[in-house]
Amino acid sequence: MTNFWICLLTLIGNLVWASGARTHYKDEYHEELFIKPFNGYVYTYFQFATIWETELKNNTFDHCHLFPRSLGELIQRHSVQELHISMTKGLWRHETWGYPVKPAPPGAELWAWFKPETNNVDDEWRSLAGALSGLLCASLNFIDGTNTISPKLSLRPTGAVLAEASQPHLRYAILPREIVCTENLTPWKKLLPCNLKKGLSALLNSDHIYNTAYHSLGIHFRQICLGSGCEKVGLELVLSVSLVYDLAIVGRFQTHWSIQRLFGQGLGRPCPLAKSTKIIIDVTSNRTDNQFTLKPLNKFDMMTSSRGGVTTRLAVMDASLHDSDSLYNIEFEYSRKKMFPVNVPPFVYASRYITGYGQEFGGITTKIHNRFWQPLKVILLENIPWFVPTYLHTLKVRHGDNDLKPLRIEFWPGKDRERPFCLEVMLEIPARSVVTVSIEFDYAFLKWQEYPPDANHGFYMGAASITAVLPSARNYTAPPRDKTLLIDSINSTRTGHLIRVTTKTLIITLPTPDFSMPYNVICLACTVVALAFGPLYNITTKKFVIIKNEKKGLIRELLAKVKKLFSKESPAEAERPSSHEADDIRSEECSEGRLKSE
Amino acid sequence: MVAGMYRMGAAISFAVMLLIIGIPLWWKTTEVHRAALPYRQIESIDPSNITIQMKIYVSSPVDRFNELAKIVESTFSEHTVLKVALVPFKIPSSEAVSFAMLEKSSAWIPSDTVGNLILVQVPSISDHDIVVNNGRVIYFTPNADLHTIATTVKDQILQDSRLQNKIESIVSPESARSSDSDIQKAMRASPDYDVIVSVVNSEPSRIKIDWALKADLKRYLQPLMDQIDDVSSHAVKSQWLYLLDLGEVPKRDSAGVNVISYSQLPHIITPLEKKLGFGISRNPCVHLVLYVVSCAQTPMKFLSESGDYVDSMISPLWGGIQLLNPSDEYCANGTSLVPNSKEVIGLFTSQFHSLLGISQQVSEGPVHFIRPIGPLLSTWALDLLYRTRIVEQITSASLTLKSLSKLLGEIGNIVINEDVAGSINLAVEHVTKAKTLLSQGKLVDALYFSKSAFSASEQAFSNPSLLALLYFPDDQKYAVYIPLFLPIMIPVLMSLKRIYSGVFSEKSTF
Repeated sequence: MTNFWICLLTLIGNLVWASGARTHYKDEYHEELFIKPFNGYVYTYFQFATIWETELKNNTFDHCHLFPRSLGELIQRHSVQELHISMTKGLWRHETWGYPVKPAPPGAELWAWFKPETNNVDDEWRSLAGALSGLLCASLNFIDGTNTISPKLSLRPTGAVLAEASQPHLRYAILPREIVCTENLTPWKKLLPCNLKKGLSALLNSDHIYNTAYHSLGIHFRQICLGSGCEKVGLELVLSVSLVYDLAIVGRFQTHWSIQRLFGQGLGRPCPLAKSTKIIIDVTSNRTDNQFTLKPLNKFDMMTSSRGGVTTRLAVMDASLHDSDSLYNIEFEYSRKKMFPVNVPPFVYASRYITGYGQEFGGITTKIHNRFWQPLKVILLENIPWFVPTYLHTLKVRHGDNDLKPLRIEFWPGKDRERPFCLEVMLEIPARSVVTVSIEFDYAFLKWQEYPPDANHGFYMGAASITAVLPSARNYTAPPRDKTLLIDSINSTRTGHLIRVTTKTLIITLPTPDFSMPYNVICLACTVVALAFGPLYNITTKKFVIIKNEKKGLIRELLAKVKKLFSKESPAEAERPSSHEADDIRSEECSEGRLKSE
Repeated sequence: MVAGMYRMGAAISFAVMLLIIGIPLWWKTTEVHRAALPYRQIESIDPSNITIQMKIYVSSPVDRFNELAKIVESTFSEHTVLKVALVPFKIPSSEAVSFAMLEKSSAWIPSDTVGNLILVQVPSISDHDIVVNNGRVIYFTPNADLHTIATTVKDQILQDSRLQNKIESIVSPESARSSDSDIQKAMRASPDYDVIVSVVNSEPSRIKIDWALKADLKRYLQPLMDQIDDVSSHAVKSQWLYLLDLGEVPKRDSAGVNVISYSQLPHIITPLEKKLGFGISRNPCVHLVLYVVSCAQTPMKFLSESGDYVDSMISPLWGGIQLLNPSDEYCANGTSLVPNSKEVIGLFTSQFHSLLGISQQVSEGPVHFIRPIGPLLSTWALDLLYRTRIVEQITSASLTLKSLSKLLGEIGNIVINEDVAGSINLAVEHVTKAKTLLSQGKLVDALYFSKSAFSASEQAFSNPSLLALLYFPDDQKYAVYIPLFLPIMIPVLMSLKRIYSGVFSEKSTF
């Protein structure tokens, strides 16, 4: 009965709102918060989704309603068809945390699909990155040809594309060294229709979201189908924030936690522009592990979602029903003090490290784990900077002691100062096993101007990623690809569940010179040339004359000099004797020669 | 003796190699690339000397024409920019001319009217003596005062003093008369503009707005943008913003109105600007903001300088804001508020007119101005806008060229690449061309060339390649090469004297 009333109330709410500006724009906005407790960690994922029923034309974004115009203008100007940005600090630990809703490697990641008819994709890509760097206060302007790849296998457009349309152009880049902080959150939140003033976004207080173990801001734009038969198309913009709180830090070693403890404040009124505001909590672990109680329990609907052979228990709350100015809290109280639940790792995860020592025998090794009971096909994407020249013949794929033959290899060799190396390996990993993919590289010398400030810190190598389609939805949290909202993922079984596992970034130490070297080299070279020039010049232009050595003591010589000084007063006698003495070559420079011959 | 000759030869060849070939080669190879620029031509451009030739066609009896010519000559004597020539003209018509007949058709108007005016004497006009129509025609009756006609044309239609002020304000901004507010408000010349209409709903939970903004903008604002497309192209864009405060707390006055005082007005733009998202545009933006006041703050008004309640304000060069106070019925019942598009966009249009620097002329005394239809400008006002923009663009382009050539002349190690040189040459050429065209009275062509000269000069001035080597001055170059040059040059230079004396003495022996 209560369920029915909730449905009815939301329906009424929708009817009232539908009479507003939305009738002219056909767009809607949804807010969702997904919470999943892990071992001593809490994953909170905010999703702010705008769905706009319109086609992507050249002037679509001239008139915007809920869609942020500034972002729309960039999409329009650079003829972008699909855009994904993530700015992340920290590493998502797949082994213990499972799969995030939106995967993101450490640092900044940007990939975009440009419309097939785009003429100058590389220029558009560069200026898009530059404009985004202004929009988001991030160093995305450092994206250029030297760190951009266009993978062939790993990434596919996630949005709806016409079947007969020609392929759009993909550009992908990672800035592994990018540090994400409040200066990125402030411009990011301006893209939300309700700012941070109302609704779930009001929880995003920069005081409390930067003490997390992992945080990631995301912007994802794509075209989608509306309706089951794709009769209508629309645009989808998902702004997301993923946060993983370490309860040891947040809870000060107390096991129970709450929204207020995580975010420093309670929940308030919903955003008046949002069509739905949902809080979804994954309470599956409640039945097996350390039991917890959710408060206030009566506001939640318990749902059981069976998806891809896995059953999860979800507590869903409709936060749009809260209609007073008071703030409320959601609390978790555990029955026991300490919790050490059994960790169930996901089916596919990976680790990656550098091999070799000093500056020799450099290599990258990626270990891919398959814990599924069947062989799985995965695609490994390596994005290797140009200053780490990699050799394809050294690629080794090993399973235990045996070599494994990759199903397909795509290698796009890099060029110095122009483009990075891009390696894609499609593999079939045997059931319940670990496969090691390794490739060797050299350490290149850079030009002196190419070193960044603090060059001894090392050079970052962006994360690799592993794409796979899992038959089971264990540890899987993302909504199905044809849906936008998390609430739609309940009971949504699809044939496969696409995952992208991102790995660690690596740091390598390149040979780093002493930076005063160029000037020293110039000075030294000039000095050497000058030193060589002197004798050469003397030999060719001067004659060595041997003059009879009149031995004089030191005192006599000094006396003679003094005498000479005084005799200068009578200039007529001063230099005459010497000028007539030698032949015509003799001149004032010969005095130098004489000194040398002495 | 022969060995001596060889040594002399060696010394001479060293000197030749180093001083005559080596140093010039080194100088050439380490020199900053500087393309040739038309310095002399730039020098000869006088930014404040612009003459626009125009004609006034007059259709009237001969004695009236002569009288008018005299008055016009004396009235327009202080013109510096506009040079006016009166041309007698006869309306080719079989019937007797009348105001109504002429207004109906336009077949009688001479073909080259752009930038010119037509004065027509008609037997009678109801109610008024002098009527200025939307086109470029001024009708007057036989008993109209010719002095009034001349002053109306001078002060309200041609506005030569305005052009003068414009030039003055660009050439010497500090000494420009601040009293001419139209010039201060007017948007700066730019080939492209974005006009961003933002609807700000400060309380979406209570106020629902139902407005087909896109269609209405197309209907009411776009015609104006199309009309002034030659001056600069304006792209109309719109957005909706929610939950934004003005950032200033209004005070409730004795009449129960929440007022934002005149001194607070400058502070309300900054909080708005945070969300307007103008930074992403490549072109300068004009903002037209409709602020829907929250229910708690309604009625809200701005206070003008003189203390009157007003609903809108203009921030020069930025744009305009207008307030929309929802009445109680929308706040309490949740009825959708449908703004009166004609009124709201009409106000935006007039704000935009003043941002363009065109003020609405008010009919006064015997003179009557026919109001233009909808958002459009009268053609004579459009001519005025053309003239102002041409003058602005030519003056700024010439000034930019002058300061650029001065800068490049003063600082020797600025790189001048072919792009910059090309832009500068183009700008110089087009400035000259635009000036020539103006003196021939060809307004539309002159506008085109002045625009291209303006953007070319701006492009040259802000080209990033100019800064490429600015931080590697010449003394560093010398410092790097001195370890080479000092030890080599000393013996070579010292040998010069010997070579001289050797050659001299050799000659004397022969």
